Amino acid sequence: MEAIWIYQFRLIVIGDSTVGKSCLLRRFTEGKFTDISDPTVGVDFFARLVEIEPGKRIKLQLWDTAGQERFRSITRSYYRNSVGGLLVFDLTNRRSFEHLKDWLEEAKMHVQPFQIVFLLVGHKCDLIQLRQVSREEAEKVALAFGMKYIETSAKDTVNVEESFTVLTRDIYERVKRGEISIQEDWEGVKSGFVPNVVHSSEEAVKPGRRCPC
Amino acid sequence: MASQVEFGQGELLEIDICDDGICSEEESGVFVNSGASYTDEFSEFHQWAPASKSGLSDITNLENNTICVSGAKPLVSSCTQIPNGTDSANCRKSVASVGSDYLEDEPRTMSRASIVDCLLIELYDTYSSNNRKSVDSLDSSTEASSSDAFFGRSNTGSNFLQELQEKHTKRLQINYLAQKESEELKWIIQEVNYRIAIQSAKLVRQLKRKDRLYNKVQKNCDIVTACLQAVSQKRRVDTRLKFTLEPSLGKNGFQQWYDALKAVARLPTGIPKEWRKRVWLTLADQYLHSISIDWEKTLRFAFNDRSNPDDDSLGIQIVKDLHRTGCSSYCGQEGEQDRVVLKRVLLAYARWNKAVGYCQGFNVLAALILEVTEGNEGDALKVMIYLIDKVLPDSYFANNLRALSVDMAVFRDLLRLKLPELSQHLHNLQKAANREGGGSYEPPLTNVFTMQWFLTMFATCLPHHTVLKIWDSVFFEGSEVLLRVALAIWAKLGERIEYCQSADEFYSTMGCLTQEMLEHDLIDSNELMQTLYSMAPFPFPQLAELREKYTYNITPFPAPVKPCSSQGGRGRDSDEEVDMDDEDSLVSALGCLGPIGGLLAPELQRYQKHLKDQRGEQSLRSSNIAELSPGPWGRGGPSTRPPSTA
Repeated sequence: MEAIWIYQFRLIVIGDSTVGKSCLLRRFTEGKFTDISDPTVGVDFFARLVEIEPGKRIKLQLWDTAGQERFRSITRSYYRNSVGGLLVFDLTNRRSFEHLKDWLEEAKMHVQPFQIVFLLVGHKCDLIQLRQVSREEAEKVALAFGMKYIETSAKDTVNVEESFTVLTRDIYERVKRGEISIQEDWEGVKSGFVPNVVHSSEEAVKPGRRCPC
Repeated sequence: MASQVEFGQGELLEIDICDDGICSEEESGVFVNSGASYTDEFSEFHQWAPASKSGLSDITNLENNTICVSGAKPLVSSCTQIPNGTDSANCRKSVASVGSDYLEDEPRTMSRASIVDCLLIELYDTYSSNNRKSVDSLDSSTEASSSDAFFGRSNTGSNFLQELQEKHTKRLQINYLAQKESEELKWIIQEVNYRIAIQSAKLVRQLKRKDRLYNKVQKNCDIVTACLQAVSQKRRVDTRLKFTLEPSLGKNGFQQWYDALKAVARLPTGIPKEWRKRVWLTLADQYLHSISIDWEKTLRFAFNDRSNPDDDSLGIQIVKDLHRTGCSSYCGQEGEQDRVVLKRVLLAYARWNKAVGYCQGFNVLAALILEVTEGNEGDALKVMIYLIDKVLPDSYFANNLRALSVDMAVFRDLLRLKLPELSQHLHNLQKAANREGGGSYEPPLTNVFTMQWFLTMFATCLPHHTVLKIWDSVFFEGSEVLLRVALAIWAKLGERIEYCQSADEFYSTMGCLTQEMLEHDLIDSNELMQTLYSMAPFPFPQLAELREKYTYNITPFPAPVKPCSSQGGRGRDSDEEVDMDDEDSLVSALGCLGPIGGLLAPELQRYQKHLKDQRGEQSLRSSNIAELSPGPWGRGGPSTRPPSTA
């Protein structure tokens, strides 16, 4: 297939509809931004490699979800195999901020017994005038949820790359520390391999259930 | 368009045109100069307007004229002469000023608080003048215009008439005439008689012409009927097949039309694009008629630019979604108008069916429907109602998309039946990703794709011309077509998927394949349609049972299955008058018959040859021409209902 990676992380992007999940993903994977995009129907997926350390690449499999309530019964089946996710709200839409708790609870419930690493993302930070949620407030919530917080703008390409690498690095560290283990029966984290070829990176030393280092 | 009409020797020649049935707009325009009318009584003349606005083919103009001449009695009472050349400009100006007045006396932009109100302002105030126009066009008097053919002769008589025109009320006109000398009155009478004579002669010619065209339509319909019968299975029921452009009146009129059009939809050429709007609307009208809807009232309610009493119950989510929704194909400034119209249709549907409201993905459906209805909001709403309320299963878009989840499960069963190897392979990939124990769960691999396909009815996944064919088919054969198309697509992709070694690889391969499907004609539309018609008899064996099974499996207390209400078999009420619209479409459709009538026969021959070549080639494509004829014929004769969607 394509380039060699040491791990694959499956990430999910959730949050209210119209907070800009798809735009964020599209900017990250395709480098494009459009003012008007069609709402996501069901789930969609993207993929990208990120280089976490020189020579160490991680493949991200990114799942985009429809934000509309009625899609939840369908999208929630995609939580389970995710190791992490972006929990996105719209800085110009207070309601989407207030719904964060519901989203998190829903995700935690459906990912059991695994844990899921989230990054809180305040999106559309370019719209300064329309801002309804302050940075301090968002940081406080992030702290309470036990996650990092970052403000992004897909339109102006602010922190898009960073948001994904921060989360990826976070997960990577946990994997290294053994807090997250690779399990054969779980798609959330997979050790690197190239189909039909024997494991070829130095990491191919089979990462143990505990700690790969 | 001719600017001045000469009366005299030549004037009767003007209508003596185009016996071959094709006539250009210029020619017809000779005697339908547009002008502005200022009085309501004058509405009879509205139909004299060139039909270009309503988007019908040229030939419609002629038919229009014919028909309205018969209504042209208040010759003298209420026409204003407007100098040629300026009239249409005036007309536009007056429309524009009406529009801006309307805007000006609505300074409510700031005062409104509710989120619904904000949406309404966005949808209705921004482009209100345009809205006005499209609402007007709903009651078929698109444009205020008149024929000034009556005022062409410059003599004293017409001067009087002109002055008479300027008196706007009957009383003023009576006063005006009362002041005239008897000599002058004689002039006027003479003039009026002269004009009546001319118009009568024109009328007679137009009526004759109408007869000729009508016969031609009949003849062409007979040709189509013959072609359809030629490709049918030639069973006894097939001999009853009779093609008409519109359902004929009477008990079996609709069913007869339906069966014939269904057969047309199954031809490789499919429904000609010129017919599509009319065909979809006829189906939608039939449905609305069957549930006894007062459409005018519904329109007023659904497209109300003020908030309706129960708008708040629509829910904030819908309104919020609608604010932001758009369609990626309508981009930039020029797209703004289209986006607003799209949102109006979506809001209208949400107001119509609160249980369903707005569902992400509706924008895609509505945009395609709007394109077929040529931007007409009311028509688009009709089709959308027919599609969502009637054609697709209940709760496809509502109720946590339950029926959709059912169909995704049903689809996996069908895949197992029809493409066992691929199904097994996908199952293995899922299982490998899934491994027993650990409680981990990889959702069925096909779900991501079938979900999107079904929810947008392939509108975002296949090239446009293929999508329209699929939609035609869905309208005639029911929602099972979606499952058939999905099967046909997986069959086509199967080979490439079988190379995939893991779920991840499957997803990335599918990422490429879906792109190719949309942009590079990976799926040939003729082949696709042929496959879906021939893969199984209609209705799809076991489908109803499977749907029921999964409906019951998913929730312990499912709602009762929707009873299959009779859609076909019910003709229009015979007392329903054939109005202008019907006449228009009859003739506009005739325009399309020209190419089709001629093309159909060789096309069919080629098709039959094509089929012969392919026969015995594949299992999924049994390709027997007999199987391509509509299913119901084989089962219960022409009166059989169309496949129920329950």
